[in-house]
Amino acid sequence: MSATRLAAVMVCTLVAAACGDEAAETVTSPETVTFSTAQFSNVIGPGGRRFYSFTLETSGPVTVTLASVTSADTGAPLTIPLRVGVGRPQGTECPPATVVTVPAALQSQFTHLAGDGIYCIDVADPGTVTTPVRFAVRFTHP
Amino acid sequence: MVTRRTLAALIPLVVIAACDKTETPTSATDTTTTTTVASPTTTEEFNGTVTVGGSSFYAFTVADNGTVNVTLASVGGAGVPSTVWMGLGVGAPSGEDCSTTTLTNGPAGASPQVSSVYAPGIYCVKVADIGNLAQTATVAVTIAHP
Amino acid sequence: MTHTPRLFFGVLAVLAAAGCSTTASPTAASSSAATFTFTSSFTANGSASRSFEQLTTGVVGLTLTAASPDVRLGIGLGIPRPDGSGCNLTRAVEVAVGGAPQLTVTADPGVWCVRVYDIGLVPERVTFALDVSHF
Repeated sequence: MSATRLAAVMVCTLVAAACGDEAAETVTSPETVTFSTAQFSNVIGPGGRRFYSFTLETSGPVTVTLASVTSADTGAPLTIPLRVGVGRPQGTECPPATVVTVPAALQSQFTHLAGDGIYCIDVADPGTVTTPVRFAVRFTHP
Repeated sequence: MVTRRTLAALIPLVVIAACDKTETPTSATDTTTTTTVASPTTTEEFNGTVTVGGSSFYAFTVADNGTVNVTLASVGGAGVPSTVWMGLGVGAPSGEDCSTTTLTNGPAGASPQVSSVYAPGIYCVKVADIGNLAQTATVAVTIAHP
Repeated sequence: MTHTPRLFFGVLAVLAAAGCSTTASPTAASSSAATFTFTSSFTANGSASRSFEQLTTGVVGLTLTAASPDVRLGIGLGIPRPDGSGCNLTRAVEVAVGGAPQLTVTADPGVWCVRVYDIGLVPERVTFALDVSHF
């Protein structure tokens, strides 16, 4: 085979490899998923609960951190645990599918794998709140 | 015999053709897509309160593509006329609220004030004071959906 | 024409890569510790806060290195309020000026904040320096 003919063959091979129809590919590179970070902050009193709805454009992990629990009156940080969950809005509530009872931290406390659609973060008093507290939940999702 | 000059000229064409992301128009086919519109099969009742200048919402799940009927069935409460006009909307839960895409104002009644076709998913109904309340109102809303 | 097939391959590779690549190149996150000094002042019953970015999971350490006048202060670590109005605390301690980290908290990557506040001992105004080590 001449150098020119060899070049022509390799050209076709390279072009096909680089630009071939995706449906015909046998090896695919991982898709890049963009994650958003959001924060939900509000105040609950004894027995209280609040929820926050958000939309997942694609399926993936929702990672949740109860980042702050402070006195609503003084702003002083509290070590009491709150119940934090992820679910789907239903009626006037957010029944959590995954839930933990944790104190505030700066490391993620749980991950909920979810399909696309509307979900909610639920924060509730597990019986530890005696005076109004301000909470802040940070969560990341696709 | 393909010359080097010819090959050099063809390479960019081949590359462009292979990399072009533009969809090639295809001829029309005889495929017909039929979307079934289901009738309501489930009824949920929302009994809430609306403060002066405030609102209240209720989330529900539509299982199949179909008709959703929302009825503000009654408005009551001390000092609240049963004929008071309220805002009634349908939308999607967002943040701590219901982001409405359909909104109508009117009094409570027996017939649906909102009736529309929705795809499967989670939606919400929102009842809001539109400036007519002087006292907190109790509201009853019926949501019929597939 | 004097170009060789070798040149064709080079041109082809460039064209193919430029025309077809859709993959973003990942960037490496720094794993080395960093330190900055937060210097500010506030009046009696006041506070001051500042946000910073943690690039990888690691321990964040706070050290109150200076306070004038020399009073005990509250120092804390938390999450910035979305409206930029301050710092919602996660952990805090009341300390005097010292030399070793007085508050350490392990933190995930993200934007966090530090806050220095009066615990009722600031006469009129205090000026302070807080060392913050993070990753």
